[in-house]
Amino acid sequence: MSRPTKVPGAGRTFLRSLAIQGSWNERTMLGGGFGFSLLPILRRRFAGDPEALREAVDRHLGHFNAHPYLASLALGAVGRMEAEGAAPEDVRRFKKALRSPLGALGDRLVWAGVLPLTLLLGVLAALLGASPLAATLLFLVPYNAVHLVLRIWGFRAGLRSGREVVVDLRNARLGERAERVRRWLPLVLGAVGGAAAARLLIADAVSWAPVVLGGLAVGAGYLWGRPLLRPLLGGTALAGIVLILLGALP
Amino acid sequence: MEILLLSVLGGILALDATGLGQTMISRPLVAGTLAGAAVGDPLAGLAVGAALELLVLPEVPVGGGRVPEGWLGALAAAAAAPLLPATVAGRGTAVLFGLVWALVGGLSLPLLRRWNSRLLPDPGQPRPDLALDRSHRVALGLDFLRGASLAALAVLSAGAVTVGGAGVGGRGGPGVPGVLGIPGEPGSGALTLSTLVVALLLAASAGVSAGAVLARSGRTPRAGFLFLVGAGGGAMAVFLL
Repeated sequence: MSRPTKVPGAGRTFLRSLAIQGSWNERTMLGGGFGFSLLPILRRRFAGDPEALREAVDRHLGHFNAHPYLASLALGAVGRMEAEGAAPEDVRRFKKALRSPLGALGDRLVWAGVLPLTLLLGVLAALLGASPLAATLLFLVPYNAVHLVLRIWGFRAGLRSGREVVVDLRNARLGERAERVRRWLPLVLGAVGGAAAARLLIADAVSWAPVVLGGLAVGAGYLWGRPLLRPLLGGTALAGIVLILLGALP
Repeated sequence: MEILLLSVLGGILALDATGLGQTMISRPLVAGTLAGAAVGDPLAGLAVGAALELLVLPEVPVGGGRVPEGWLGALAAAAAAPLLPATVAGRGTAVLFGLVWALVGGLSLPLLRRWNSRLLPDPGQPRPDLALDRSHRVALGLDFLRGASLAALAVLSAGAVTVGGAGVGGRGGPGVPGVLGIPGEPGSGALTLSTLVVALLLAASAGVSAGAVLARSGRTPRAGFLFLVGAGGGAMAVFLL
């Protein structure tokens, strides 16, 4: 793999990208954070030309959205394009084209794949009697290994390839990797459910009813998903707080 | 002192959830353990954090969706847990308490995002780079303050709400030692209504949550088969260990 093109300010841009969602809002979404992260590169590129710097920053104040880890790929590529003096319209179109794939791929690989899988491993470890440190590390270490690889790889690929970074993205086959990760989810999810049910069944003074209800609820969640969960969580919380205040719990 | 420590932790976790790092120490599993360690009971924190994790597992920070703030729920639950008996009912009550705060925290996010939108500079300013730097840092600071304030309120309310539930004269009540506060000695007590109610409420929510995650991982016969195989394996592992 060839080394990325040296772009002055790239190191600080990468560090700032760790806070890319710091000013997330409905209007510009990741846009403010994208501009904030890019500032070191822009300041070096347009040093001594305040008018050009002003125009460059202005074009990065608008809307942008992507998965926060994969946004580093866009940052690296745009940083390279700005350093090489790409036309503003080219930069704008490039950012717009990357939005959807970087969002969709990241959501499928990370939020719907690696995150729940590693979390469930940690929960399973806790249910099987692991120490707090072991259970949390079993989640945090593999998760953040993937997290940091994505950020660093994306940024370096962007710096190296500039507007051709879509080739790197395609070659990385993130969609396929997401599917391979998600294939393990049912197995680990089932293991957590079985372990939790077993814990309750051998516990002191817990009947079969919660376990049976939990099993039925899995079916309901499978059929109706998150639209059912939100009101159920609200109802559960409300019931809980009423019972606590009435002194019926614990 | 505990309140100060948990407030600072709350600010850090709020930032990690979205604005800075996203290393996921803000997930309930870790946040609960950290908060539990801060109050001297990391095992209780792990227990309530793991339970809350199962409830909010399908909730991911995609786009602008309003999601429960799991870190706040775990922190609140971990603060309440040592004040309650180390039983199914006690741990479950702490989780229910935490769930309330997780939902409250989720309500505060749109307010923060509206502020962020107002803070960001519009094009055409003389020094937009300085304005952008400043506004982004202020947004991070506001998120930290939001998290710290909510954490402080949650911890204070834990003391107020659980003082009636705690064993008279002290922290928690008698509990049968076990894994995550779930006693391992069968038959040593009578089923209480509170235990049943808590277990039913949480089992329903956790089940729906698990079903939603299962559906998202693929509605195929293979997924269903693997789920059942996993369930059998998980149960056996508990019985054998």
